[in-house]
Amino acid sequence: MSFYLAIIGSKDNAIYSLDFGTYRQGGDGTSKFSADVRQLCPFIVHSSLDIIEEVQWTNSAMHLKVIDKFYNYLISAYVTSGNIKFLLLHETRADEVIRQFFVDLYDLYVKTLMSPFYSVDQAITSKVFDQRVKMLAKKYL
Amino acid sequence: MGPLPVPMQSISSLDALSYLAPSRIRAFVCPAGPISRARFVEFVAQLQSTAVIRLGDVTPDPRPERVVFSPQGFPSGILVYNFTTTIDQHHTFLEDLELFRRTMAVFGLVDYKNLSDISEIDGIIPQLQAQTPQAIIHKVILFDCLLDASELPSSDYICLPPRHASRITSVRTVICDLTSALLAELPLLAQAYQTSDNIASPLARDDDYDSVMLTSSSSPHRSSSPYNSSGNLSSQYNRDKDKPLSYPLSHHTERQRMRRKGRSMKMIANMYLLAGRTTDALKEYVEALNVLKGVNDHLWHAACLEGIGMCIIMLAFLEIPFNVPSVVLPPMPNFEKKDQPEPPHLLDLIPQMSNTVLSLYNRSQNFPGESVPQLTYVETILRTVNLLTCTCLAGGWTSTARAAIVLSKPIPYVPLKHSQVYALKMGILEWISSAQAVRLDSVDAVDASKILTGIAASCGKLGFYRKRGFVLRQLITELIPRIVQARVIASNIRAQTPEMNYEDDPVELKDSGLKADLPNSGILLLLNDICEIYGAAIQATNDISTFGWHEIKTSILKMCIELCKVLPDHVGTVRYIALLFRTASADLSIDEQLSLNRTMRNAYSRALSLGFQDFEEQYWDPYLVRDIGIVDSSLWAVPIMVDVDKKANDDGRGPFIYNPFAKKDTEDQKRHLFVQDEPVEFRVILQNPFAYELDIKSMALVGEGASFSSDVVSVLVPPRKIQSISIYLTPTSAGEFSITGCVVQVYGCKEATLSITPKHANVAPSIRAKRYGLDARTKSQVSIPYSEDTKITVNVAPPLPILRVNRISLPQNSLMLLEGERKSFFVALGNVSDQISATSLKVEFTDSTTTSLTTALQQNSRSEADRYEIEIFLKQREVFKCINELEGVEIIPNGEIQLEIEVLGKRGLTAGSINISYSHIDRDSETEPSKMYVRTLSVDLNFTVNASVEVAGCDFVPFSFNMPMITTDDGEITTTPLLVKFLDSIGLPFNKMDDYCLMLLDLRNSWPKPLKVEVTTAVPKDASQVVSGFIQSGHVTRLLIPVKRICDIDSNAPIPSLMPPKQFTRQSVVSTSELLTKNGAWSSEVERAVFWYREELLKSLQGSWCEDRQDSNIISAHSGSIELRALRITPQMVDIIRVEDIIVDISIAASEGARKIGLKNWVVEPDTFLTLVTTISSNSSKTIDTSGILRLQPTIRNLSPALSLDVSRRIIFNGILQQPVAGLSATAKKIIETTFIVLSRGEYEFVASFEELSEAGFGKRFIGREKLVITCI
Repeated sequence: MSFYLAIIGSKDNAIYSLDFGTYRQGGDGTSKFSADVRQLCPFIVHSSLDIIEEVQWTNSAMHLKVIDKFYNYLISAYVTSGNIKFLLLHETRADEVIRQFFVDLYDLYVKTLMSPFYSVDQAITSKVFDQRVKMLAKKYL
Repeated sequence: MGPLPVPMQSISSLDALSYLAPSRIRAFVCPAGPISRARFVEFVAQLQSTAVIRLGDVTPDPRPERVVFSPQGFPSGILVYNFTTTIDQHHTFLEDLELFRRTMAVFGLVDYKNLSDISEIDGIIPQLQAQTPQAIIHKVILFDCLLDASELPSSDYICLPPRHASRITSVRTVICDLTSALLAELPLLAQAYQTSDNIASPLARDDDYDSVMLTSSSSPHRSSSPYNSSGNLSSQYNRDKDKPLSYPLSHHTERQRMRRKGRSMKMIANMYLLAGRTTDALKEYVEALNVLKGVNDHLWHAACLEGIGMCIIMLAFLEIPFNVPSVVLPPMPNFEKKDQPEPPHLLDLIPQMSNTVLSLYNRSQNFPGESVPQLTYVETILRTVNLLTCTCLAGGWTSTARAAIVLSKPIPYVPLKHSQVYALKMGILEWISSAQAVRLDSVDAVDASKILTGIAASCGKLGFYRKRGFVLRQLITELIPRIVQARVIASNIRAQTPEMNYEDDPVELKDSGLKADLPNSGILLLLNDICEIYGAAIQATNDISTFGWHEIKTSILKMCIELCKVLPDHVGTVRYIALLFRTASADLSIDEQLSLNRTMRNAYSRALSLGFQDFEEQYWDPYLVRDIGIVDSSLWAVPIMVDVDKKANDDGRGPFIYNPFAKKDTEDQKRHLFVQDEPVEFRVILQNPFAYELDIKSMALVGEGASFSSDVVSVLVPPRKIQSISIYLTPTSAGEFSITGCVVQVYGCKEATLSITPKHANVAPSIRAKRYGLDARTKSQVSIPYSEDTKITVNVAPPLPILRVNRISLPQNSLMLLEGERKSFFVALGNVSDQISATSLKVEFTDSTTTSLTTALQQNSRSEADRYEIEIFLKQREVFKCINELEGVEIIPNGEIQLEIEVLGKRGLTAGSINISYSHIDRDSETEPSKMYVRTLSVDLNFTVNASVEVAGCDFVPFSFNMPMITTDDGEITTTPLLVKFLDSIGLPFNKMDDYCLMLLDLRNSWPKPLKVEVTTAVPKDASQVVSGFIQSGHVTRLLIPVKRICDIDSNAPIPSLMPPKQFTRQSVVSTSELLTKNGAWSSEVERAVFWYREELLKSLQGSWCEDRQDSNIISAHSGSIELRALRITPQMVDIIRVEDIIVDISIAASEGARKIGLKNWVVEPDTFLTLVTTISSNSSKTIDTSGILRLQPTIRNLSPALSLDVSRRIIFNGILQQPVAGLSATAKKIIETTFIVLSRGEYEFVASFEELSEAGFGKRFIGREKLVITCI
């Protein structure tokens, strides 16, 4: 199974994006998207921002669960209090696991945000962040 | 006469994906006869506006066999036309299932005005019939025709008078008439279908066994059915589907018969729907549905269901009460439990029905021949989406919503609460994503784009702009390969037909014809829209958008470029390459950059050649102009602003020597000063971070303030380089202006003003997020900070003249001089300016001696006399002198003047410069300007100064009376002949000899040629005396110069200074001179005396030298003055030179016992009375009488001092040797006589001295110059 994670800032800008695969079922943690789909991933995720904007006002929870789908792909979303969106493109429905993943990701994000050298909407280039996100992915997905 | 590509922009057609689109009659309108495009479009628009016809307005056809679809059956119903200008050839296979795709009517539009003869239109109808045999009526409408119906060839030709000519026959009446004809023809078609053996599903194939199994209905006995009058229509229709007759009839089962029946019923229902007979249609549909449901004909069953939906909606729109057929009601147990439950809302019913339709369609996929075509499937979804969208936008199932669905009327904006439409929107999204999920592989390009644009339109209407962007992106990626494929096929065809003239690409010609005047239309509009959604479109140069996802932007722009390239749309190519470079130049590889640049250049030149204008984008690098600077050029004389009267300047300085609050001059110096009408050079630093050569077509400086004109240059910046170029600029008016940047036109880009890149171009987006998502699009532009220091402010002076040195009379500006020599040369100054005359000329000089002297002067350890000496050399020995009078001199434009400059050979002179400052003051102007701009022209000169004659040393000898005296025969006392001869030679009388002393001046000739020297002593009272000599090269000659002794000067005056007085200087000098005194130097008193006597002496002396004219060439003979200031004198010398104020002279009065043997030598006899006469005379010019004590001191000659003073027993004096002398007035004489007797033989000396008495008690002491010698024999 392959995943595509994107953190979107307040201006539709990608702060962070990562594609990865599962470690379960003998996976090696790398995504198995075909080149076309991989290229399409940002677009799919981007197009579901419209739906987040609809859904987020009806739901007080941060985790919006699966909000959109494209062919076989599902898109789960998580909106932080600062209106930063976490979007995960995945293939099977697993709300609870994804929720845990998002909550831990939020934790990481908030830590990044507290850095005096980071301001909102900046791209996250920290290698540590990247590493930790991968660890989270390995842990949950 | 083929289908013309007519631009549909101006024709507002009905929404093709409306829920009720299948209920419209497709009518093909085509131009017939000579007609212009504009007229045709106008006619179509007229028809379009009357596309909806009330059946009540239509006259029924009187023929009884044609009443099946008579409008009278349902007068309140409406019939809607779908006017198209294309014939849909691709969808013929769908026409059975979806009758609305069939072209029912063909209308030829004729512009009667263009018609020369009515017979021209004769052939149109047969032509139309041949072209569109499937249509059931073919009519020709003659627009703006005033003919009577009888004048026309047949009833198929209809006249439409111009609007102003006839009110009765309007477009609507014409359309109603045509509708009547159409409805009359419809029964024939219905009959044809009913008699038809087979109504096949769209995807049924002849060679498909299963499909034949299911659909084959060929049987001979069918042909004998009562409806066997279909004529050519059905046979035409079935031409492709001639069935093989070899199959056994046993397949013709009951089930298939029912299916055929159901299908034909459905056809009839469909026709009712098209004809506007909605109630009948509903009835027929329900019946057909029941039949088809029974035989599991899913495809047709679903189509029936859709039809029922349409009927329901139409009836709802017409507000005609009806019963929802029970077959479509959901089989929900809940409804059954309740007693007569409230019927479900239409809005819930329709989606449920659509769901059923889709599930039926899905089920039909199991039967290969009977499966649903993708187009039908997707369009069903899209129609549902459309219905729901309209409802959503209208805020519910309102009449506006219904009108929008049926008539495609625009929905006015209704403010809706989010919660009101949220659920509906989410529902629509479900539908949309199911539409997106349909694979479009087997659908052709036109249908694919129709479907995708349909999805996109719905997304857009609902405000899902990102979704819309995504769909449109998908559309474009679908289109690109298909276009490429079409191109390849077209080029193959062209290659196979070599006789065709393919000099120009026909596609491009078409492009140019269509779009030369509309550069921002069509596909570009679409692409712009997509780019905007993804934040890839930026307009202003200085703004950087922080909006959007970089990866997506790059991808989208590349896609846009790709599409524009294959179209080909050159304008779009240029635009999107520019945008890509702006957005993502850093991410592009070198190869990509190069190829993009090449593409862009090609596209740009193509677009230009096609006549496009003003389509260029801004240049993408806002930091192109890195810096602008002024080039300091030696060619360009910078003027300085000076105050005309110096006082003003001094006043401004204030009472303080140093004022820390005063404005620093450096600020003003930083500002550059230009002169009007004179070009100045600017250096512009350009950057090109890209991998290709940057071709800047034109570039000029821009700024604000006073006007100026800049040169326009074009430049090529090499890849990955920073290049500096120079641009000349000419100020055209005086004042202040500042350069802010450049106007740059890069090849393929719009001309833009780029300001200088600020030093700290840190573009930081705001950290406060005020808007989110797409709202942030407009507010996320970050401007490049613009700071004041990124402009160059300069002042422009009014026009000034420019002077040049035209000629100079020195070869290579060099001159050799001997020390003390004066030479003059000429400098010719020309005024280069054409209009401005040069005034206020002023010449100043600097030379290499000044600096060393100035530094020497600044050393504090020098005595005052030394300082004065240096000051003399600094101030009075000027190297240069301008001979001309420059006051009021004016050099007219292009005029010239000559300056004569005299130069003095001074030791240490190696270089000098003449600084000529000039300005322009308008004499006519009444007010004298307080400030003026001054320019300076400087001429540098080189000098070699060789040593000539210099003073090697000097001494002073008094004319001593110890010289041997000779008494001549006639009693005159004289001296040796040698001395007399010498005195004669210098013109000095012997008796006045005492007034003079002799100066021994040693002069050295350092010049390799012999020199003649001449020293003149010129004391104003006396005639001058000249001493001359001749010095061989390298030799020292001593000159004997009689110098008149100096009397009566104030030697106690302080040593003056030629420099302007400075504070604290005096004190420091005094202290240093005191310091020197302590170290054993002269006391300040002595120093002053030496100073003043030397000055007095130098006044009277003048020396000159010249080369011997016999030896050398007369013209180049050097001559000059001797620098006598090299004389050094000591206090001893001063004593010799000076004449005392009071002279004490002693002598012996003439008597018998005394005999004079020399001037001061006497021979006396012992024991005789002698009288010593002491004369005290005053030379002083002082008015005060002098008093003092006269002392006489006799001594024995030639003895040691201890013994010599003991004269008391040898000479007896009458009186005392010390006596006071009082009241000696100026220039007076007092004679004091003292008598004495010499007792003992021997030689005695008498010395007299006068001690002045002063109040302080330190009077001067004057001693007699000569001793009196008495020899007593």
